[in-house]
Amino acid sequence: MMIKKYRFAYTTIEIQLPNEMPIPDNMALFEEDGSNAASKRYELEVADDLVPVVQQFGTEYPDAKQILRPNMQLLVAADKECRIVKLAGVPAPYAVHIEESAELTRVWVKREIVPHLAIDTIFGSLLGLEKVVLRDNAIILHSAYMCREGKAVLFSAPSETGKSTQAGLWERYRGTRQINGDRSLLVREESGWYAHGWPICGSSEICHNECYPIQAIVMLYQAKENVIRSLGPAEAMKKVMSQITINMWNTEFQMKVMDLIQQLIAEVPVYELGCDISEDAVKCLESVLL
Amino acid sequence: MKIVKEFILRDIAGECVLVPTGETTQEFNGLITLSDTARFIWENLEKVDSTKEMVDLILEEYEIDEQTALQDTVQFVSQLVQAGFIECTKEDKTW
Repeated sequence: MMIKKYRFAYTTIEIQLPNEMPIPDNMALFEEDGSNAASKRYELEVADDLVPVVQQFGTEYPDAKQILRPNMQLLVAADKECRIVKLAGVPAPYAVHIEESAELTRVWVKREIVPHLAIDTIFGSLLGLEKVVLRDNAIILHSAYMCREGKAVLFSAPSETGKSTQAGLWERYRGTRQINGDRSLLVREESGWYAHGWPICGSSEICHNECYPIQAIVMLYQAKENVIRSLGPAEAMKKVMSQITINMWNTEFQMKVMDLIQQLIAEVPVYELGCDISEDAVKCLESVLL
Repeated sequence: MKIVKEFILRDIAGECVLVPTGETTQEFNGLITLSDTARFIWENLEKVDSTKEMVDLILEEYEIDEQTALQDTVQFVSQLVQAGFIECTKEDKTW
């Protein structure tokens, strides 16, 4: 068995896992030296069959509500949650995650999938980290996170819109750096909102553990002509909310995230950029990033 | 009328927004911005027993003419019924 400790912004977790389980390389960037106590412990184990685990939960909590999500099936009881984790398009689950208490979550991973845990998205889905970081008032934004002149600019949009492409254009034409190609962890600190690194970066493979104050959030859509506008509160709320990881089945979680987003959009400018893939798109955004 | 889906009303920078929550988010996860009258209708859907009662209630609260109040009510309520957010409680389906 190995015991690893990680810290994401102000949240420390501990993971106990068998030696043969691979851990994504990016996680090493978030390893904690030991001075901060973990607020959540995960116990991971290998299982040949996940059915008995789910059946036992079902027997213990017969009134649990069933929720279906594209990559997950959930059984939600009053104070417990069982997540049956799947890969997109594959009906059989690869892991079961049971939140035993606020401090302990147990995870069973199907033996065949163990070698694939080196992939950050597969490993990340085991943990449900969004719930843990929210306790420390942090939210996860689906975004390409760029550092420009010591500040964070976050390009956000549904997958395949071109978040990384825009961040890449800035890198090419303005020499900026990308901190994470797919996600950022947003936290309100005393002096304002900050973007922290996140261990999951999807196919972008760009992942650094760095933190900068947020200058702007830029919601993208593809367009033939480059055009930028500032979003009003209700519009910004809708667009930003659609790209934040939210456990919509959990009303308490959802309302807390909405409180944080409301504060975020009141304090950080949110723009909408219609863009192509030329330097003009960079110039268009640059005109508002003074 | 009876609200059959889970929604929470939230104020976002002065705008009133209907937020789906719980199991409702499985079928619908957008936010719906409501006008003042729409918010009033939503909040009173389960308290009145007919379109006329709703119109009277609106006229007590807002300085608009009866025709507009009726139009707003019929339009908004039928949209909600169509979306499956509310269901008629009267057998003749008039409310």
